[in-house]
Parts: sequence; C-alpha cells; structure tokens
Amino acid sequence: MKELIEELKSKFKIEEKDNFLIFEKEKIKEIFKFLKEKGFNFLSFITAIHYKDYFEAVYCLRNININEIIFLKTKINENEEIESLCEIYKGANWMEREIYDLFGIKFKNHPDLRRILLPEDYEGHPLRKDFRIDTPYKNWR
Amino acid sequence: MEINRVESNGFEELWVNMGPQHPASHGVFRMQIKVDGEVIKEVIPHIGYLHRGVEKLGEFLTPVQFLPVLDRNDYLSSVSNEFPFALAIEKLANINVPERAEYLRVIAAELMRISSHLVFFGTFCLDMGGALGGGSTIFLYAFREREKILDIFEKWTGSRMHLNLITFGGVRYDIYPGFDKDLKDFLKDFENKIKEYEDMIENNPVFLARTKKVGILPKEIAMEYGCSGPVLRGSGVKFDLRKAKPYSVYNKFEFEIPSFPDGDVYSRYKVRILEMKESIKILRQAIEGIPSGPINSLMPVKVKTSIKLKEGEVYEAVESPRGENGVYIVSDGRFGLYRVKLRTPTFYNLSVIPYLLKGALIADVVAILGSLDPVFGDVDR
Repeated sequence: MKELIEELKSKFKIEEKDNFLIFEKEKIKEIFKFLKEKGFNFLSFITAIHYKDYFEAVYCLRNININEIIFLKTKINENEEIESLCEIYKGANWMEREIYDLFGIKFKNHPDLRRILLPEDYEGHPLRKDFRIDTPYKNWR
Repeated sequence: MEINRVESNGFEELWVNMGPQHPASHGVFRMQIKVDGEVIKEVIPHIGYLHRGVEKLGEFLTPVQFLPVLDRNDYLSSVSNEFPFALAIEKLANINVPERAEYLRVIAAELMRISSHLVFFGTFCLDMGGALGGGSTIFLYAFREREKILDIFEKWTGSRMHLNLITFGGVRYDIYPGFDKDLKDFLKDFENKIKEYEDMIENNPVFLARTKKVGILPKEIAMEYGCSGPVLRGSGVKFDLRKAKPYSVYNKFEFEIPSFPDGDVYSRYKVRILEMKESIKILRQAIEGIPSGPINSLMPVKVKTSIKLKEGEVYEAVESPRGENGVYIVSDGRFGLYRVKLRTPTFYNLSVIPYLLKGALIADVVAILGSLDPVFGDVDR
C-alpha cells in the first residue's frame, strides 16, 4: 500500500494530506485507470463539499482483495467542469448525477446528466452553502 | 398502467410504465420499461419521490438532534443508521464507549438485521405471488416472527421501529430484567422456524424456476456499481465490514460470511437466509458474554445536548442489512456539522437495475427488483 502511494505521488504529482490524496483534476482519468488496474475496482462513493468559492470532490475506492480503502480529493472552482468517470466505473453514473443535482457541478462526457433526486424543473442546488432552506418550490401544486 | 405504443422495423415495441405507486416496488419507484414482446430492451428508472433533504438538514441540526432523523432513512433497520453516525461523532469528539454499551449495540444491530431480512423474505415471497400457496402465506409467517422481535424492542426501548437507542458514548437504555430469557426463547423458536421456511420454499419447483439463473450480476459489475451487502455477496465476493474492518466488538464473535458465486436472484435470497442464521450465532455469543458496567460514558444522557467536535474529516461505515452504510462528516470545529454525506447502501445497489433488467423477461422484473431489497427512504434520503 505504501509503495502504491509513493508510485502515485511520483507519477501523477499527488500530495498526501490527512489520509486524503489530493490530485489535479486534469489527470483524473489516468489516475483512476491506474488505480483500477491495481485492483481498486470497488467504487464506494463520490461526493462533494462546497466551500465559499470552490468545491471539493471526494472519491472513495476500495480494494477488496487486500482490504484497503483509499480517499482521493480534488479542487473544482465555481463554473468549472470535471471529467466524468462513467467510462471507467459504470456506477459513477448515478453518483455524478446526484452531485450535479445537489451541487450543480457539471461532468464532461457524462452519458445522461440529468437531475436524479429533485424534479427536473427545480431551480437551484440545495447543498450549496448559499441555498436557503426556506426556498419555495415554484412548480408546487 | 399507462401504455404508449411505438412501432419500429415492423415489430412492435412498447413503453410500459411501472410505478411510482406499485405494490411490488417496495416504495415509490418508477420505471419506464421498453419491451419487445416479453424481452426488456431498455429501462429508465426514476427515483427521488421520497427525497427529504436529510443531508442539508444535518448542516442545520446539532448531532444530538440529527440522530433520530437518521432513524427514518432506512426505516426497516434503524439501528444501523445510528451506528455509523455515532461512531463518526465519537471519533471526532474523542468519546470512548464502555464495553457493555458495545455489546448492547451489537445485540440491537443483529436483532434488527433479522427483522429486516424477515421483511425482505416475506415481501419477496409475496412478490412471487401464486407460486407459493396463495402468496401471502409466507408473508404472514415472516411478519409473525418479526412481531416477536419488535415486541422485545418495545419492552427494551419503548418503540418498535425507530429505536433511537444508540447515542454518543454508548446506548440510551439498558436491557430490562428477563431480557436474556426473552431473547433465548425467541432464538430457539426462530431457529426451527427458519428450517421450516427453507423446506417450504427451496423444494418448490416454481420458486426455483423463477429465481435460479434469473437476473445474473457478475462480480466485476457489482463492484463497479458500488453494490454491497447481500447483493455483492450473492455475486461471490466475500466482503463484509464486520470482518473486513471490525468495528465495535465484532472481532470477539465467531461467525461466517455466506456467499454464493452464481450472482442470480436465488443466491441473493439464500445469502440473506444464511445471514439470519449467523445473526442467531452472534446473538447467542453476545448474550452469554455481556459484561456488567455503565451503558454510557456521557451520563446523564438527557442533559448532554451539544458536543464539541474537533476540526477534521472522518468516514465511518458499518454493515447494515443492505450493505455498507457509511457516514462521511466534515467538521469545521463548531458544534454543528459543516457537511454530512450519507452513503446509503440501497442507492448504490439500485443503480445496477438498468444493467440487470436489460435482456430479462418482463415477468422477472418484480423478482429482480425484490432481490435487491430496496428501501426508498434509504435510496432518496
């Protein structure tokens, strides 16, 4: 496991910070292809966090054979897009739709980027920090 | 049921709409199914009918206020929702848990696992319909057994489904005098009943024909989709967080992880039946070995309303009856939570449905969906 992290650091310029591996979002596809070849083929979840002027996307992968878990993180600025992982992990489809729905982060080359939990005519993205919880739903009947 | 007719290439293709209110969908779930004759060509699932914004709510409530809200997510196994959240908060606030409380948590979680699998077993056989003696026979048998578990919970905590039992630093209620007799009586009775059910179901040729080699999920696909719990183990992957990363006191008990390599509906059903038997083993060991002592390190429980969290990010997961139930918390050092992500297992288990249904027969939709055991409070959050 330590060797793998060292290899990641030298190959993709990944930094390590409190159990999270922080990568540049341009290299996302190469990194995840590499990790999948190394046996990290269980995509546990993808999520995002909204800070004042940027987002952080968090990816959690498991390797079931050696029983290891790995967390990766990347920074996405407001109005920026990130490459979709659907080609590498099929399960990324719903997870990325959920993030698009709740945060408004757009994923490039996603096959079907629609809202998933909220209605399609909903305005706004609820998990952003500037979303007020008393916002009414306009098309409510 | 609303039916649109579409004609193409001389063959007739139909868009059939199933749900959102459908008795076999175990909640509010809508699927648009494109069929060519009896074979399914394409499935468009729609979820979100039960979306309540629990993650946003978590940013506005204190952890103590948020705990009972979590009970309502996977309403069939409320303890396994409280469990990861309590573990995560305890890690962030450096709270230790007395050993007796750990044992009580395990007992509650395993009883919930049996009760949740019984609901699966009953409704799954109900979905199979007329094949099993009028349909509702097994359903009523399963609910009869579940009732006994709920009675034990009612005596213990005062509520039957949403226990609100686990709290930070331990549990809220100690067991009552005579609890071990109630539990042992139930386990002895239930062990015989499981054998009875197995004999009834697994010798039924109609049941076998409807479940074996239906809805096959290869293990590579299951892992890519993030499927966990019985769905993953039904595909031949022996992965259980109770063994892989033993939390609480699970490393003190001896039990097996059932798994079957076929990946069909029958293996997912069989995994759950065997898991109930393993839960019986764990419960017997737990009730024998339960130590005496305090049940909470933060007594008195009711006064402690705010907990100071340190800054940081933490991910804790437990094995709920449906899979890996995880909580990911970002704390900025205040009393509330900056962000809370609930990794609810059935959202990921259900995302495999377009893959599973493609090429299946329309009669198998209900069997395949039932074998994933979705709970829509858990999917939509």
